[in-house]
Amino acid sequence: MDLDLNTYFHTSHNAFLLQASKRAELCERTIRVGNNASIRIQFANEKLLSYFMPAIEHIVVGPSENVDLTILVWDSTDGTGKPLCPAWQTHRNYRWVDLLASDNIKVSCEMSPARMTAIHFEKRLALFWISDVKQFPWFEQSRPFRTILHWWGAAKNLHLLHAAAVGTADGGGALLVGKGGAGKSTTALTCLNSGMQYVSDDHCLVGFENSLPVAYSLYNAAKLNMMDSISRFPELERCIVNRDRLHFEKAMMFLYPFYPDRVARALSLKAVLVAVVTGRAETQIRATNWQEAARALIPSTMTELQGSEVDDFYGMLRVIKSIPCYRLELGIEIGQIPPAICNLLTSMGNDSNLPQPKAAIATPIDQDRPITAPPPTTVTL
Amino acid sequence: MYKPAGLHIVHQNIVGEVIIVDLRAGTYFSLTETASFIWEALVTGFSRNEIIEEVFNIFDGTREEIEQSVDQLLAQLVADQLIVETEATDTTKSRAINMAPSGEKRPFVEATVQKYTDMEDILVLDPIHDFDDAGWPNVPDSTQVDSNTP
Repeated sequence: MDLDLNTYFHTSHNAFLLQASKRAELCERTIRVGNNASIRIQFANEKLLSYFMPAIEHIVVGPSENVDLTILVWDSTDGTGKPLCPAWQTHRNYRWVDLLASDNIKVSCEMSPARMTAIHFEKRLALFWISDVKQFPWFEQSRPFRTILHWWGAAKNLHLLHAAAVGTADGGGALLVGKGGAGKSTTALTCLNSGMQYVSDDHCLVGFENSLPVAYSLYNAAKLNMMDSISRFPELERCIVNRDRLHFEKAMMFLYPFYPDRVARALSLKAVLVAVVTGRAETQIRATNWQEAARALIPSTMTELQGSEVDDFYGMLRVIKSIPCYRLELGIEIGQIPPAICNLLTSMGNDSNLPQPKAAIATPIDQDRPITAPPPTTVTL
Repeated sequence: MYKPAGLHIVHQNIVGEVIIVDLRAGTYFSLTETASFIWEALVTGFSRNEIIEEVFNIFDGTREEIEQSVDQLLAQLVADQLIVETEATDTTKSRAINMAPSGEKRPFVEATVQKYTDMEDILVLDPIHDFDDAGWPNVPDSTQVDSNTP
């Protein structure tokens, strides 16, 4: 079979149209993404809508005629409507994934769970097919359409980052970076609990307004290890949606229904914080260089997101190098974390266009003690 | 004259510093302000002597130290296989970068380049695959996926 990407996309699009017409259950929602972009999502049936929408419920807006992208979502629970499958040749992210791309079209096919993701930039159209949501791993519900939003955003200088973001309504925000287990979720949820603004605990979009970075919320879902962390957040237990599976899954929560005024759509970023668990009691924030932040953010983001390209690398560097970077040394007393971050943001004032930091920022417990910042070149890469 | 060693060498000016990526090796390089200026002159098509002259016009350094710094940087860029020397003289080269001195000269700091190898796995170019008529899905029996890992 001699298929080009245009033919493949067209054929797959027809599969959606056929499936949607057959069931006559087509339903749609529109979400606002980034500064002012609208994305329409059309689901072939109600079941798909109820599965995918909770994570993005907080960015739903009214229907719009003019949208920047339309995502078509369908499944094959009745055995029909499957798109063709390109060759399977690569192991990527430890799953069978095949990625194909041209200037105008990208296609990703995964084996388990069976899933096809495609975008046609010129048509402003994306396709998302899965065999059956029942085959999806639990965590996929927390980050729907991630690959599509990554591809679409990259073309608009909106970078989908593996990062958390928190802040205050008037003080700006901090981007929290680090590999899995570095403490991003714990920090983000501790801040949420303290009344701070929450944009994400795992993935957010970052773009630029007036040359300064802004974090935009995509998902109001959060995940916590039940054994280690959820006991620290008893007030979040009411948000858990997978109570019957906590013996083998992380606790997954949708925050927006319970914290509608704390889940922020956007925060202007003032600082990048590299989260590090120290085992010490107190939390401290110290100046660091962009290289440490790059090492904490870029590999985990590019490994997670299919089809990452060197432009994503440059985009993330631009985010990191445009604001000061700090190491957030997380202590066991998690109640110290929110004031430490608030103090940092407050100390930075309203001028976000700052050079790399020259001095460490102390936490509330040692803010009177002068701290000498480590030289920016102390981090060995 | 010099030019980038191929299409696998990409570069961008990120907040005042040029970052070069070698997509074959997966390495990346950050250049200081002076080195970034030299790199942008180089990719614009300036010869070694022209680069030295322009750096001398813009930065506050002696001709001797500027010559030494430019030569050291070019040698390192060649050693790291980021640029190659070319005999061609491009008389129509673009003067895209602003090399005219404006006001006071900038402080001259030695032109250096820092090499990083910590992202080799993610920066190496991936091949783009062709289609064939494999059906859906087509999972080898031996393939097992850990579906419980976020």
